[in-house]
Amino acid sequence: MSSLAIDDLSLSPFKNFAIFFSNHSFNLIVGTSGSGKTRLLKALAGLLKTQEKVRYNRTYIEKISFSKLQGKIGLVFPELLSSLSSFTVEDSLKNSLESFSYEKKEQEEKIKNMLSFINITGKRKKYIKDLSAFEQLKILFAVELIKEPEVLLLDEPLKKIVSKEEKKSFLKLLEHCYQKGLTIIMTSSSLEDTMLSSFTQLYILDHGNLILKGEPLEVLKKDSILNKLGLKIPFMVDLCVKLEYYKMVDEIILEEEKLIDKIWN
Amino acid sequence: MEIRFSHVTLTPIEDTSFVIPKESLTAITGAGKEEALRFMAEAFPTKGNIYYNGEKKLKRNLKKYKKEIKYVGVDFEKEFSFENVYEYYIYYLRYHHIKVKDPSESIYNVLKIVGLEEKVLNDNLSNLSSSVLKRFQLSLALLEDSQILLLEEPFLSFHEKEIKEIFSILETLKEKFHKTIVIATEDHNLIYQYFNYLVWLKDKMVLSGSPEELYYQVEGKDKPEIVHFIQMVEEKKGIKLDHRKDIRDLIKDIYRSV
Repeated sequence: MSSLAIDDLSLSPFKNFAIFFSNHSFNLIVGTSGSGKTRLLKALAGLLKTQEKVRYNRTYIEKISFSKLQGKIGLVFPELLSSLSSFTVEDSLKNSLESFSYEKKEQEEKIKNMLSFINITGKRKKYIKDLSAFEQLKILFAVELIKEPEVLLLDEPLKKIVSKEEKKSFLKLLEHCYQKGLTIIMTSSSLEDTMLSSFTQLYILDHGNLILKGEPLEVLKKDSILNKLGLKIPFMVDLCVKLEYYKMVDEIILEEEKLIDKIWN
Repeated sequence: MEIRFSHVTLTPIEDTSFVIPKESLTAITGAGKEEALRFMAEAFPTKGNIYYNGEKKLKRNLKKYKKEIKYVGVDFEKEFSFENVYEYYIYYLRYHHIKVKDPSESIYNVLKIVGLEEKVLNDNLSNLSSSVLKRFQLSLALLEDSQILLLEEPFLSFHEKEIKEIFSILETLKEKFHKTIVIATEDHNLIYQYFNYLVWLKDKMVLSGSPEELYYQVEGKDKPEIVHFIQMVEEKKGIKLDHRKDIRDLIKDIYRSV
């Protein structure tokens, strides 16, 4: 079990805010700058003083010991990179395992497996500051994942990743973890990210308000609301929603060829 | 100011020659774009030369280029430990020896250009949202009246509405203040939508010209989604749709064609 819930939170920018993330779910929260995404993740991680408003598996986080909470909820916050940049890849993973009493051999095995999982095997001795933005993100992720948390919170992990292939590759890692049972909550300022993986739930946040939530394609169909918020709807979804309006299609088709056949056949 | 690359080595392209027209909003995309920006700013290529309005870039003129060319990186890197926005502006002016009549007036002017309110001056840098911080970073580059602005992936912090605002600012800088603006980006949808000139470092070749012409001429998948769709309709069904930028116009064309 690894569900997270917030009830009646009133802490800027939130007012009487409530949200629920079910056990074993793959969630994406999208909002523009200032919508409260980072603050929401911080509240969920127990980094803010919330006074019995956040529950982890039905228990208020204040009632869970700090070290236990740290072990259960992993944080991938890009701002943590600066604290890691002067470490080598190997040292950062070793530090992460410090609080666990693993035998040297077992520790080495874990590091080896993790580096192979994130595909950074040849750069063990490299300083994190010398890695590419994509590799740095994978290390930040590995440092948390190696502690085997039950929930992983990721604050705009793809923000600095320009290549679509790299974005997809990172999301593939997350999807793999989700399929293994991890609950994942990730934020983004772009709806395009929705199309790059199989998120189970999409949440739209604006100025501390939860505007929309649900199965991703259903949420993306609400084009007028999303446009008002300044969010760009992914091309194929936008095209299908508009074609639906003119009764040229009756569903969202994400593959170009299929859509073309549907329109002109 | 026109920028010309003459036989410059840009990894992975060994011999690169192209021109960036003066007073243009130019996008540069593909492998080597970051290196190209660095060469336009303070670095020098190991092979080949760069010319500004026909004048060869030389090390002895570095001071002049510092004044005329401003580079805005992906991240805001703090040069000083000041946290207060106003103090940062003032020290920036002093440290970079930027001569202005009235510092406060200059600061208010650049705030206005980038669409920030005066109250941001009292804020702490670490409390600024990423999009406000990006506007602040751009405003620092505008404190000195430089002719060339180089920006590396500036839109990562912005949503659709803000991107439109930023392009309107860049258009004003180009039209009213006659600046040459070069933006390195991998976002083909944005390039197609907003830019009037493209330098494309593609497969060890350099292509340059209007984004619309290039995207419709060049084969491959790395192009705007709307262009890819229009081309696929022609390829699969033999139906020629107009070269549209706006999805609503495309819908009308589709409606007429079925």
